Amino acid sequence: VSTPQAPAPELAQLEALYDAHHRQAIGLAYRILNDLGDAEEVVQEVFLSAWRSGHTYNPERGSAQTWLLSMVRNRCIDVIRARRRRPVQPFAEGLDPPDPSDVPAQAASNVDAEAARVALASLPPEQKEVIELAYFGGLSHTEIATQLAAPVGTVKGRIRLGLDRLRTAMGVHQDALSAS
Amino acid sequence: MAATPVDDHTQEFEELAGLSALEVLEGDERVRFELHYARCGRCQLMVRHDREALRSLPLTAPEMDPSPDFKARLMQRGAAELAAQHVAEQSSGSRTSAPPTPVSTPDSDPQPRSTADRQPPGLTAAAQQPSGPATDRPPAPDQLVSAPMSPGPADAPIARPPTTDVPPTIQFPPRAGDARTRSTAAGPVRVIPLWRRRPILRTLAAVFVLGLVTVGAYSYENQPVATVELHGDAPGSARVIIRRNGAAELEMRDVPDPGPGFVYEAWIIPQGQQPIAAGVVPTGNARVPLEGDPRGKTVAITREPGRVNAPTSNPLMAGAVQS
Repeated sequence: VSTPQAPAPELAQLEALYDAHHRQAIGLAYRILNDLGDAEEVVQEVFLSAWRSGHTYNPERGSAQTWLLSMVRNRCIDVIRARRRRPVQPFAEGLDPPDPSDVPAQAASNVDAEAARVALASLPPEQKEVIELAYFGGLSHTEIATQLAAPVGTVKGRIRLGLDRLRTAMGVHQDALSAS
Repeated sequence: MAATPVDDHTQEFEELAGLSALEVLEGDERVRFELHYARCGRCQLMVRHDREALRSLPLTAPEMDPSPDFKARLMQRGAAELAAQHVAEQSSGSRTSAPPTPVSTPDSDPQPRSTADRQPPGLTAAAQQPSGPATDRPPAPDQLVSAPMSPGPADAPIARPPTTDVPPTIQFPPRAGDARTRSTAAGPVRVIPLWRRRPILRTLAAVFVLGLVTVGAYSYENQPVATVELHGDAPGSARVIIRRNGAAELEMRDVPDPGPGFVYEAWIIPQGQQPIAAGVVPTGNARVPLEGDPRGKTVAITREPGRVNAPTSNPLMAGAVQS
């Protein structure tokens, strides 16, 4: 009697990564790229990249999901900017794995999807719009201003106010900022 | 972390902090903000908190199913990478410990080769060589100089040209383009190029080619691929020259000398981080290598009383280098 051969541990890790996060990753990539083929290509590369550096991946760590999704978002923005043939500004966080000692980051990562949606929805529409165009569209403030036919200064101000509200809504610790 | 703003901190920098956290800050504004950010505790804290808030935004995208075969494609890619890795490990292991593996052709028979093939290399008597039709595929050198070979199934694809009048000592494996056959009264004769008959010529040719390749590769890697002008209030000009291999140089022209006891110091400023000392320029007309890779970072020049680890004055010139 032969039993089916168990998958190699490495492939099992890739499968676990996929099973845990693929719907969120595809959803995010599609949200940014608006093309399922491109979205799948990006997600495939991100999963393989995360899998190759598997020693940094710990499914029990809450930040793994946000780390993975940050990679998806960054790659998607790269694709968008390549489409526009615009120089790509390097992402400071790149593909670095989450730092377990970064307590605020850990706290932020524990905000679940529903809470994040509620926080974003709590912004005034004009602030939500500019933040979404910048974050999901990779547009600069000048490009947003052009798209919305609004003054650049107005766009900058809306982004600032929107981020301040978002921080509050997300519960990001900001006592030090308030005190100074 | 201290959240103390520096003297020149304004509301505008707080707006730029948000753009920096969103990673959409560009051009001169980016340079200006990064130079300010490097010294301003409040902006550093603001960017950090903005990023924390933004980290959860991907979760707001609705979940979605991929194509039905997406998982299969992903797993196939993973399996292929594992297989390639396995093969690479095997080949590197066999290179260090195992004897060279006989070259096989794609259509060769997997059966064990004859014992004759496992004999130490020796010179071949021409008469013992099997004759047969020539093929386009050049045989491996160790297969032709070592012999005797029996015409077993595994050898069938490796055809050998007639060698009846070629002395065994100069019997070289034919390679594409370097041996020709001409007919004589005694039959076809292989013409061996001179450089292949004389080992010293072969060695010299190899050294020459290797030298050409090395020089070519060096020149290619050192080609300038980008030049970035630095801007500022100081007279004269300064630019960063980026080479293909990532090495960079700072060139200053017609900038007034820094004065007795002072130097110009270059800084590489990664986004959101402190300036890193990248070299000292003693005069206003010089070209010096930058210590570090400035791609994707800001380069700035300050006037300092000798080399220091952190800038003590405002930048005279600065520019953002694209990645």
